[in-house]
Amino acid sequence: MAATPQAQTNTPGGPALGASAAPATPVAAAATPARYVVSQAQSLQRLGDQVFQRVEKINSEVLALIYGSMVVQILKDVDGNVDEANTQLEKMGFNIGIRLVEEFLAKSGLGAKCNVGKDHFFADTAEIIAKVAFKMFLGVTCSVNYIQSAAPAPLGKGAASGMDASGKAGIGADATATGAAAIREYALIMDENPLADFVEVPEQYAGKLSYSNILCGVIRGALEMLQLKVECRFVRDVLQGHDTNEIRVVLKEILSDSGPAGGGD
Amino acid sequence: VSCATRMASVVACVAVVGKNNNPLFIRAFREQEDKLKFHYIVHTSLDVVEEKISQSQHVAPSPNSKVTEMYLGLLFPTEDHKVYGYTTCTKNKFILVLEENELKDAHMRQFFTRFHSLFADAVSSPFYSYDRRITSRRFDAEVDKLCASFTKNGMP
Repeated sequence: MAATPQAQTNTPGGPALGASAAPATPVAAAATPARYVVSQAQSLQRLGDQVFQRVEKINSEVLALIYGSMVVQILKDVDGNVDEANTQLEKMGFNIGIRLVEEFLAKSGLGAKCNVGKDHFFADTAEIIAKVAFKMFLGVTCSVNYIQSAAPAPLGKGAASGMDASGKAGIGADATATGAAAIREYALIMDENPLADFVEVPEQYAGKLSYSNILCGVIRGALEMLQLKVECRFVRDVLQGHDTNEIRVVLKEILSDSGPAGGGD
Repeated sequence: VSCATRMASVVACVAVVGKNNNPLFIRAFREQEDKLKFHYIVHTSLDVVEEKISQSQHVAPSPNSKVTEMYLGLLFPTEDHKVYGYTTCTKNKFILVLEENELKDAHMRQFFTRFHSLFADAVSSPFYSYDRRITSRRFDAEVDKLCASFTKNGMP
């Protein structure tokens, strides 16, 4: 992800960002995936804070109340069928995501930096979503866990998902040049969920309702517009009694230029 | 009350009553007393609440009346307890049954203000149907904590 001169002038917070975008060439970046990812995360965090300051904001209570009444209404509409409600929320999110991604890329200035089609692009999206997108639209940041899988790349880690409890890049010390490219799955850990303020899920839906499922849809829609077909779901949810919120994003397919199914399902 | 060195809570019972005088929440803290007795106390106190509300409406509003209109003060004393009331502008009423005698007005107001804030949080859940019984477990826990901290010397 080399910083081009155009990219620097497009982002008013340019000097700070440009100075720390360390890797000079894509080849050098791929050769040291662990360091690359960490420095990228820091500069993205700064970008996220800058963009957050510039965008208009609304009261988070208002957002929580609006979203809450929408979830309750959907549950009524589907006669309490929780799985259907989860699907509806995800679909709504998808329709939001395909539009939101344009706004995001324009406002954040990352449009010029998105190496759509590059092997490691999926791994890049993790920190971008966690540090910039979440900050810009929800005012909170997430931390990222990369899930190592038994990937085609010669990583030598036989077992599947090795989750790094410390939260940052779980890429092992012996990662090779294709480390970042082999990432097929990552987790976004969200400690604060502004959509879920004041919410207590009643017994009949407890454990089944994925209350903030709209977020999963938004991520899926946004990534599909960037040629990445993913599956996105909550694996841990504070409203279901877990200690934190975790969204798992799994890459299913890199779409060719024939384009995604536009307009939503 | 008790000879324990730790300050005991003076709250015997706290209740929330809706605008149609329907009980939304009743929590009694004295195991040895009959819970029904507290239901009865709360119910009879509602008459006094209505009286006080209509009284304050007849009096010309003074610059300070906005604050005092919510806090109704001592509703009536029984042989063991004193009952205090507080009404919100949405006609929800909070009833507090205490065991202690010498309590400052300021403590009562402080309790009710905090209780009002907990009530607002509980009611803000989208799954709460308005004017129905409050079933929020978080509300239960927070109310327990709040009442436990309300001792002879007020609250921290």
